[in-house]
Amino acid sequence: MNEQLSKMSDSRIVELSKTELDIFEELVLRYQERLFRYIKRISYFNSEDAEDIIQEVFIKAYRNLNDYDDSFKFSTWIYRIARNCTIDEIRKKHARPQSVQLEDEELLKIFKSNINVENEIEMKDNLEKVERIINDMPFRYKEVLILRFLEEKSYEEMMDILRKPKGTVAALVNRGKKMIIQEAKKQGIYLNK
Amino acid sequence: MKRKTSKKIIDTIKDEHIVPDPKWKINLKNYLYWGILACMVILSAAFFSLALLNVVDFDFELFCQLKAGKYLKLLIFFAPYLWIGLFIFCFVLGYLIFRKTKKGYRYNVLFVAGIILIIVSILGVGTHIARMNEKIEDQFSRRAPQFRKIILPRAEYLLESGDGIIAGTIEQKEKESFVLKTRNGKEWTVIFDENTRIRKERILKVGVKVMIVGKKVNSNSFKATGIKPLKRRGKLLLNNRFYPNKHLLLNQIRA
Repeated sequence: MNEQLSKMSDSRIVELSKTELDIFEELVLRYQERLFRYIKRISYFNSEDAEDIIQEVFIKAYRNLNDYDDSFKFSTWIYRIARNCTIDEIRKKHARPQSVQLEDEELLKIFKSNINVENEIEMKDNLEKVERIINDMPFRYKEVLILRFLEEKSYEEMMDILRKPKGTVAALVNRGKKMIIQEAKKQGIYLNK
Repeated sequence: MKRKTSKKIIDTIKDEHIVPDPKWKINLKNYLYWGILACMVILSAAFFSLALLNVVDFDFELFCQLKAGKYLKLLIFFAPYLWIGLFIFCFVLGYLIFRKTKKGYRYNVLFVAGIILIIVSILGVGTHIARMNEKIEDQFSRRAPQFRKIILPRAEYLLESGDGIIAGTIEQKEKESFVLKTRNGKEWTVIFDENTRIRKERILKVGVKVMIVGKKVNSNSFKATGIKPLKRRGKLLLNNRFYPNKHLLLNQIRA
């Protein structure tokens, strides 16, 4: 049964889950880790908080299974729910999602995706500066860069996750990139032309 | 750990007896948005047609004689600001509601605004052609007498002062003059001669409602340069519930 399930598409599992709850567990298994990382990336929550949010996300998803439209990817739909739950939780705690928890490699990945660095070793030495640059960015830019370069989402998927027109999403990514380049110059990180 | 978390989630769903919400319940909000959007489009079209009624209801014969500068002045002077304001309000609200619908966020501002504008224009022009806007305006005038002052504050002033234009009913007719009674009961002696441009001579008889463009001679006399019947698309104006329309002002500016 499990083998059969693992071969099934997400939308097929959604259909079956409407009548058989246990099948829904397959979707939870497929997405919980990815969503856990994503939630931690866009918030400052610790692992326990993030796990609570994950639980909330899947319960909400189960309750709204009939809202799922298979013209979207299931991952897009569940990412959107995860994003909304995380932002709601941030609001509940009356805090702003200022400081995100990105691993060193993640920070460098975002940074390198946006600019050509002259000397990679030097950049690793400047990790603190890189962290500050990314952390100081407004949430809306940081969020799109995380979706684009860490979650590796396409613009279409980002549009559906963020519920913003494609043009707006592209503009946010571009402005985010520009911000990183400007800050890198200010911080004295040498860039290739 | 992975299995543990997923098991916990499934157990919570079971323990709390959570079931997927029915489709109708989930879609209710979306239907509500579409309903409000439809209302906003209809209201926008109604306000658009009312604005249209006030803009296109000119005396085109006189209008064509105007120069560009006067035309601009005319546009600013006659603009039905209340209808335009209400139209913009409903239009913007309609756009914002559309963005709230299930896939509304996917489309860019210009595309959505363009589509709504096209629909509103078609409905608005249709309403104008069907003369429904006249009925709406008529109802407003009938039910809310103060409405006229909101819609045409300048018209009120101009027509009361006799400054370049007067309008009312012919009470008594002489060879080269007649007595005109305005809506407020004031009587004017209107003097005219062969140089006075009179649209349809037969209108100069007792009981006919006319508008006169000219010059105030004294507090009771008015020298006419133009006289025309008070009609809008064949309908007589200046009765108790209807007020002379923009073409009166057009003549005033021209004078």
